[in-house]
Amino acid sequence: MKRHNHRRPVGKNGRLLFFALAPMLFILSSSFGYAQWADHVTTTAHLSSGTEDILITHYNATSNSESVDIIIALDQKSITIEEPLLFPGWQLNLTIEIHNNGTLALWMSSKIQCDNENITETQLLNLFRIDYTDGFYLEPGPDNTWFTADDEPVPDLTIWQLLPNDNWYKLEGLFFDAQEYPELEGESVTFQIAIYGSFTGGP
Amino acid sequence: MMNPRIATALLIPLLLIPMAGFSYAHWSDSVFKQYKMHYRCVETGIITYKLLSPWNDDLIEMWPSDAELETMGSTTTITFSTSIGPGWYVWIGFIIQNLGRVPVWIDAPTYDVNDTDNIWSWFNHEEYYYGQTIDGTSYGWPRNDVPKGLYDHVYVQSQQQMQKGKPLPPHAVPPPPPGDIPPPIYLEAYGSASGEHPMDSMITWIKLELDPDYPSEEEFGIEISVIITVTMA
Repeated sequence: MKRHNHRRPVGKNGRLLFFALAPMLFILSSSFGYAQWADHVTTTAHLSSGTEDILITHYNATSNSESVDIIIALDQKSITIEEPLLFPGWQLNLTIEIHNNGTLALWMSSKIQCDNENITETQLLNLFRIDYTDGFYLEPGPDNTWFTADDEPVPDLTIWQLLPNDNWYKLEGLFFDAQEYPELEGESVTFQIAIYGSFTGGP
Repeated sequence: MMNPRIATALLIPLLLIPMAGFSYAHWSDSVFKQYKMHYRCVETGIITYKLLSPWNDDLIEMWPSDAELETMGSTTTITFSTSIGPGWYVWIGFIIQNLGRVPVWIDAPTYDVNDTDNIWSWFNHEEYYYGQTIDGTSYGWPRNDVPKGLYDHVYVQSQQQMQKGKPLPPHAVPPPPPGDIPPPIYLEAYGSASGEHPMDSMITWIKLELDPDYPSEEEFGIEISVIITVTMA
């Protein structure tokens, strides 16, 4: 049997009833929510991207040549050393202060590059007769003088990081060992030492 | 429209009741019973917490400090902020204690993230709860009996400590310590019952890590809230 459901239209009173009931329902539902008696323990982390930013903040060079020319770039990211009159026995001791200007602790490393390729110290000696020694250091030691026996090296680059607002020192010694290589006379050579600071890449 | 007869039938008693009340009030006195009731409520707090990261602790700003928390007694909120990069991680460890007068359940954590730079998917997170299982139910421990090997001795040596050559503390345990149990964990009500200390405390260790393979070098910011809900048992 088909059943007809005659619904009466909702009149003014019906609407009033609805408006009266709605707040009651809200009040009831909020009471129910309160009655759950729940609490929270919250840990909130505000995390932002850190920055990797190392600068050359100071340098000092000593050489047995008067013609060596050293220029630091305005952005403090590079030092250019030019020697127009390289001669056998030429040597240069360079100390650069490296400052961590970023917000992340950095693993430090350096590479010798020639024509955009990494080369080793042995290759540098074999190709250009440049005897190159280097290292990262913390302090010049009690005598307060670099390139002496009491210089304090960074003990282990796989453990030590350059922390933000901290300084390390990079000591580089270059010696042109070309006494028995006259074929290098008149040649020119360009290479660079790249110093890297990276948040990743640690042990 | 409401039927007038029904309306009259409803109105008459409504009029009679206040009239009766009025006349009664003239020749009567009153006595009152006053009920004072206090709703039971859930009250839990973090009694102590640690943020363990191999990077310099000075790089993490946190609230409350140990001294502040000691003064406060407990907190329901910990906040910290720091700069991070790929592979960054922190272990967040804390002891939750039921400070209320009703037993509670400590549920698994949920995460609420404000992530305008869409980086949340690059985060890894792990959660570990520690208590004891008795007859199939997970309980905490009495506050003073929280095992040291699950909290006090848990340790991540910082780079700075490694650099200074500091040895690991004796009994150092790397996180997460073994023996976690699944939530929820039942914590008894605070306060001594028959001279016995209730099992009202538990340990949580949470690891938060930015994936080491996170590739972008764009600047980002993210706010991550780890929420542990406590409900009345």
